[in-house]
Amino acid sequence: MRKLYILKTIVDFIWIMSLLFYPIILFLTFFFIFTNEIIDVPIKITSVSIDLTSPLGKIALVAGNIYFIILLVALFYFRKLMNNFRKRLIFEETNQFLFDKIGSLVVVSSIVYLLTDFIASSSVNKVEINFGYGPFLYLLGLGLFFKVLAEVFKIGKTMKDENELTI
Amino acid sequence: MPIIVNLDVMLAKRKMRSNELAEKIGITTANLSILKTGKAKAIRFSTLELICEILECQPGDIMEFVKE
Repeated sequence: MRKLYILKTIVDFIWIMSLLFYPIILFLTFFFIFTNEIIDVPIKITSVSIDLTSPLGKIALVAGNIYFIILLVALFYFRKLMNNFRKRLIFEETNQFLFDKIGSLVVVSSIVYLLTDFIASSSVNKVEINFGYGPFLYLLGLGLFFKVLAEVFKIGKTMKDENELTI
Repeated sequence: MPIIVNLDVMLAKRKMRSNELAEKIGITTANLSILKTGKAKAIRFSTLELICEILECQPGDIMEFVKE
């Protein structure tokens, strides 16, 4: 179980850093939405430098925030899952529910990412078609993998119950 | 479940208490209660063998099939 502790430490670190920096990101988002000031620092959403003076750029910024929030919620559920594993609660209904929830959130975040990428590219009048493995495919695959794990845990729970009820 | 466990009937016939049987088989009274109430999903042959040996009966005496 040492690997679990390493993973939990990494997840906790990402969680704490996200909570520390998200208020700043949120403040900057509101600032850029309500003002049309041009700053020299390029703001990148999905690796595209967006034009914050255009409405599409502002929409891309909001979409990027939604994407971040969804991943943050998924991370919150993932931490809960890690805590359950730490308490040796493995094949429980809660874990199955958490895996399913994380999977759904990651799938939704992948779709939001795709939309954000499209809006961000459109805001700078640079529509690109990227072939190959991008974050969208990775996120979609990860989300579906979590959903498959939920099914596996459901089967595991049934097997555990049957084993416990064998006299 | 269409399998009915008549363990309590056999226990009454042999004038034996549940905890006494549980102790002799080597299972907990909670597990014996699961078996008696029909909540059990399966029974090991070794457990069945011990129950039959202690209660001096056949597996058919403690279990019966009733069509739903």
